[in-house]
Amino acid sequence: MSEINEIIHQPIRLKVMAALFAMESDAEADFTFLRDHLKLTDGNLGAHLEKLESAGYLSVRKAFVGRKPRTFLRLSRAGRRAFEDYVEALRKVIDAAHVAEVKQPERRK
Amino acid sequence: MEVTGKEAQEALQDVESVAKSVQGRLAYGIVGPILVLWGVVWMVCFALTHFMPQVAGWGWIVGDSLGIVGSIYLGTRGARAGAVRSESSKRMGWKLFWFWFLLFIYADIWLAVLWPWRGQQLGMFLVTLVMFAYVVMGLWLEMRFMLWLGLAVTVLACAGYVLSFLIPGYLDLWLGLAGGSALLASGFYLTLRWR
Repeated sequence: MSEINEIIHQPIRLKVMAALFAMESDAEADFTFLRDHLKLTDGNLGAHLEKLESAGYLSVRKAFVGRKPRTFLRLSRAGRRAFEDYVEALRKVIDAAHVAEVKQPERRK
Repeated sequence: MEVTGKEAQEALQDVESVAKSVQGRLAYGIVGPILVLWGVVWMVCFALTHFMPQVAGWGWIVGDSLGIVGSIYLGTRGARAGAVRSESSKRMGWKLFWFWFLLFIYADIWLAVLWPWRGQQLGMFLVTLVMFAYVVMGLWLEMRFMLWLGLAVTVLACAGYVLSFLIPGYLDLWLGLAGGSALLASGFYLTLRWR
């Protein structure tokens, strides 16, 4: 078993990070896009974004488009690196579990 | 924090599925309405070529112009209203614009060099050229749907062309129905799937 980033591993934050990571590195996504795409409520998404922002994983920009206030989210460099490390850690856990599975029947023999 | 192999596998699957859905929505969200537009243009203009060949030339000029202006409008509107903004996608938008613009310039050169051609040859040339561009875009932008759509319509068009030697006089109608409806159906599918 390996250490996994607890902030990212929470299911909703994981999806938010995965969605932002899948975009171009200079892309910023509208709050409503993420909310609708991930089928979340304003409050739920907002709470998780705060947590990610305080960890320094994403930056939040508020702007007016026309007369409408909009919130844009962008994965920071630290967030991108943290997510890459997180995925790498997941792969290591899976590999380790696979190796353990293979060894177990051998021990039984 | 420690997780089991099963939990890690599930988390990785979540990551892959979210990434796939986001990329699909960003790539195809704008393309869908553009395909619907060109499906209608093809159906109407090829039908006009079959039923009213005397006005087909003007029909194509009007249809293509509407298609080009409409595509630019839908593309820029989609990008502006788009929930995701980035300099790299803006640059990609311009690259795509120049790609299509130059393709049509080259098509004009080839058509001038290859003159004289029959109407059916012109229809086949333009359909396969546009589908070739879809295939290139599919490979270039890793949009598998565009790749298969381009190949499928090309096969349909070629089958119609071969059959037109056995049953003459219906190629334009076939190109309009088969090509146009393929574009229309794909456009509706993408629009509904990724809206």
